[in-house]
Amino acid sequence: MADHINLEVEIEYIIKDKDGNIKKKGTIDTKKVQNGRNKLKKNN
Amino acid sequence: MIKGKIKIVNPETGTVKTQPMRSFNAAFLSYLSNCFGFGYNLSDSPWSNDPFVKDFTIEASASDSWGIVAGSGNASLSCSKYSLDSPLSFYRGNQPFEEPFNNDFTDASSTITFSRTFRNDTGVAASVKEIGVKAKYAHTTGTYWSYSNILFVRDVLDSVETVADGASITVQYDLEFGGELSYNFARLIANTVQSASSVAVKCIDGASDYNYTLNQIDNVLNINASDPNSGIVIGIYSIPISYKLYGKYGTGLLKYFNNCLVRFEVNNASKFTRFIISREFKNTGLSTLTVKELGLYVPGDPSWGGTPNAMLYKAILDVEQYIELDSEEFLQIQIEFKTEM
Repeated sequence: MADHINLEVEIEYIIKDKDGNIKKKGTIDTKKVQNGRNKLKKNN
Repeated sequence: MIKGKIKIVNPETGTVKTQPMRSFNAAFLSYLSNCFGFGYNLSDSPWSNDPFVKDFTIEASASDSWGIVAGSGNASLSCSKYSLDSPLSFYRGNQPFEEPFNNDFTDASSTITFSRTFRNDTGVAASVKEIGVKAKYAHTTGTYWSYSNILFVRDVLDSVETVADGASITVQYDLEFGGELSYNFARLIANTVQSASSVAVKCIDGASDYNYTLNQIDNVLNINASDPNSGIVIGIYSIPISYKLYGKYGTGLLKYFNNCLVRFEVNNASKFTRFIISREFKNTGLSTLTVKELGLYVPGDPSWGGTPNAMLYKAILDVEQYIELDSEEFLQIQIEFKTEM
């Protein structure tokens, strides 16, 4: 049985300078994110 | 992420079938955004004219029409489906949370399992082609509260389940919570699943477990504010504890702007629903800040003093994903919750 992901979380960010001009846009790859639980599992 | 699994047990035929759960309807995300205090109203949902909704539950007795439901329709999945295609008049089990009922809230994984047995007393054999999970909720337009039902989940079965007259089937759902959703998130969803339960949520002080009781999830998750201890937060450390940011930047270094709902989108053509919450920060210090972690706080219930808060989401960034924020610069973080069929 193939898995189906029912809810996903995605993160983006924008950095603006002091005048409000966009300096950088980025996406955080949540597949590379470590959360507390996975890290604990790995360490244990 | 959440991964759902469905199991159909038919004792008469001796079969056990499993398939992925493929559908959180748009109503589920509307519910979630409501929990976060944004109260988004779907234009064509039953609560479209009711700006205030609360007290969601799917726990039901035999006489209740909400909880796990079964039907004989097989219309294709749609984000905007708010009822079963053709509900069956089966006798529903008294408790949708019969054994095995297991909330495995370890720090490594979180799984919610719930089930309900249906008995065919219609006098003829019946075909189950669709199943779903229906929630009851309270709503008001001002003075009085009343209750309605809405479908959070609907799936068409991979193969038709034939139930003879007098026979029963059991439908079981397993929801696995993984990735960066903290186990608090799973615990709070479980609180909605089983309204009579008391669900312990680990607070950000790491020492307190607060027992959320009857549907407090609807009252405490309001992040729609500029409070630095409520909503999207960012921090400096990479300490692998899921219930807090150890190095959360304080107001001495950051200006916290309001959390806000950027977009709520129901896309039936591509079969997805999403909403995006956002928050802007300004580096008010003189030095460059390096963001290595971010998360989502929910405020404490005022009835227990408002603190400590709980954390629903934690992400520790990899080194190449660190965000550098120079003095006087602004940082906008957007977190998107998306369900896809």
